[in-house]
Amino acid sequence: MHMYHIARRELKMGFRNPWSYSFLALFTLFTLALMVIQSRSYLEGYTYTTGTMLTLVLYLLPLMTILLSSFSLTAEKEEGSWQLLSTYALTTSSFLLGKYFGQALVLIAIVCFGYGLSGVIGALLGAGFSFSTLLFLLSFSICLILMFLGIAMLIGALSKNRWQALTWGVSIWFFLILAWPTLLISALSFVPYTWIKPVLQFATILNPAELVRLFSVISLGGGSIFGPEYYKWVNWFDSPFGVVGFITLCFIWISLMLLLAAFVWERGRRHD
Amino acid sequence: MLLLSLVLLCQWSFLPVKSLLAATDSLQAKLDQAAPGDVITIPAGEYDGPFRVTKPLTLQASGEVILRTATDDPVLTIDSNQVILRGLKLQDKRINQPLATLVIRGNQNLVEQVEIDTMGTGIQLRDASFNELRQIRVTGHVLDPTESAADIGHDHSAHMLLTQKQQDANTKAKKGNGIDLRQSHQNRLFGNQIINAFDGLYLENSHENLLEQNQVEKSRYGIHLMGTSKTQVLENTGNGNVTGAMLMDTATATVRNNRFLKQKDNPNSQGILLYSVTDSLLEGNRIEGNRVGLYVENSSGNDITNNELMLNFIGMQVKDSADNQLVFNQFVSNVIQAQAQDSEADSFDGNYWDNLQGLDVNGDERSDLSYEMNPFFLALTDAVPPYQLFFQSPGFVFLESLFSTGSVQVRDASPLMTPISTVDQGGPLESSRTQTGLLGALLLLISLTFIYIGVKRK
Repeated sequence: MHMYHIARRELKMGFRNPWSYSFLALFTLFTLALMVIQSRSYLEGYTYTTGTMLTLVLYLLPLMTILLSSFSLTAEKEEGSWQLLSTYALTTSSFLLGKYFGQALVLIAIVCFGYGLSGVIGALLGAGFSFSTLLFLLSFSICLILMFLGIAMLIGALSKNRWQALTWGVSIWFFLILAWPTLLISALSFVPYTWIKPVLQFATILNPAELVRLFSVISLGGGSIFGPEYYKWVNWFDSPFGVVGFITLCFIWISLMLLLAAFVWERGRRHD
Repeated sequence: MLLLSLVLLCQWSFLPVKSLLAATDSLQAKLDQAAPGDVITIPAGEYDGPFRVTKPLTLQASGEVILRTATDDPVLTIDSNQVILRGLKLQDKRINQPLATLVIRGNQNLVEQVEIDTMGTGIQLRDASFNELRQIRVTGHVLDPTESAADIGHDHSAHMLLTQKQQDANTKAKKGNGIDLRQSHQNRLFGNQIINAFDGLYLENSHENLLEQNQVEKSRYGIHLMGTSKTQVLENTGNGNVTGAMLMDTATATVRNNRFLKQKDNPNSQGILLYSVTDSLLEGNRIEGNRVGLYVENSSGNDITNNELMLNFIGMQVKDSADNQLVFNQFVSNVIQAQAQDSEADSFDGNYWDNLQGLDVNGDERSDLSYEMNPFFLALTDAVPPYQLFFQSPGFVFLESLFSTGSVQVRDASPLMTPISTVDQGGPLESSRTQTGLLGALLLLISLTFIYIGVKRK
């Protein structure tokens, strides 16, 4: 019950936060721009357009999620509302879960607004996303949001204030999105050749952005591009087991992050 | 899969043997007794062979004529010249036999409108020249076991194994080729259809053959040339094979106006692969929706012009090649348009790249900014194939751009500003548009509801 109230409160706070609207405007503008690119080719599957869209969404959405949500957590500490809340019989887990679901709703609403508007405009103009592309992008984005919210919760729990959260958030975003292949390639030059593939696979599972991207490309039918090395892996991901496996992996990943966040938060609570 | 193929086999065995009369013996007897030049009309029915034609005869079917074999020999062997074979159906349940369902060892024979259902190779031409094979349909009935990548990879010796295994109740049946030519020259293969074979059309050490308007589906390689010269490949279609056309150790081939579509499901798939190909012409081919559209390695002196490469994951890869001319090709909406490595001596000029931010200063319809093909991904994955996992990873795109400046690269010096022909990509269907609009409206509604719940004062 507490969790519901926290989520409800989060939704209210989320939409009274000017940051949310600036992200909403940014994301909407961005999707409309994507639609203009998309209107050059309608065909479905893994093409230049879908490839570019995946890349652009991967740049923007994780950063947006991490910043918006970790700030929402640190704000509780900075503005003293957590001090007030902690005097009630409120468990850390229901507080964090409430924050998680509330933030998820805020972010999903932002994404829905962007895709919804471009869907409507596209249909009116007779150009733009096809039904399946729109649905695909939406589920891809929601997946990313849910995964990165886990990280955002942990960052929020670890940081004392917004500045710390910003530093952590941007570094983690840079590490997971931009520097990832560079770091892996340089690190893997020190391991025996036969280890490279398993280490890469394991690392990919640890990076939510890569995991979601991989699964998306495979579900677009582009799995063969990763080469014969991953033939079995790709086939597995493409099967119904793969879908269940992917959802399980995401679930485990999010739960782990939330557990860690709860642990850190709880420690902070005892110290207060 | 194996079970399925067994079921398929069983169904075959239980086909009604309605008119398997003494005709069987008498058909071979008829063939033996006929005088050269005779026309033999075979009455409708099913005949158990093997059969052998040793003199110039015309064999034609009256109604549905099905030939089979009861031994390990081919259903039909033509050991003669100037035989005409028309309208027959050949069914072959033998597995892993070295000889095909129909074996031709003569010249100037005509085989047309023949339907072959086989568990091995459909037709073999051995030292056979000047033959014409037209409107033949070969269907392979070996269903795929759970294939592993190595089974269907670049291993070109694999198909040799197939012809050496002895039949054994426990042996898994291996696919054979659709039409298989060795040491056979100047044959014409026209309008044939091959489904589910190993290689659709396989030519080895055979020269000056003409392959025209054939269709190959669900096979390993649609058209496979090994050590051939002056082969003409015109207006053929390959759909959903591992590789559409594989040209190896081949010289002076002409590959024109073919369509290679959707060769994308296998991690080794390409539309057209050239390996060690020289002085050949690739012109006007449409290569669409493949894993790699055109792959060129170790090849030189080829003219690659006017091809349309679209919606492939990678439009073109060029490796270790020199002195090839690549002009007036169109690269449209490939995830990666082209990658080239160690091929600086190739000449790229006047191709159309739809993602080029071109700049035409002097109004000659050519961009004054060149289009560069980044070698980084090819070089990296060549050294360590597992890094293919980074294909189009946002961080990798970033890294690639860091490496793109300064190094010596393959580039199209004066790309076209506008496409040569407008490539028809089809618009969205009206129903899809309405659906998209409705989905969009629904999403907006959901979003606004949440925002309203959030903002309203209680």
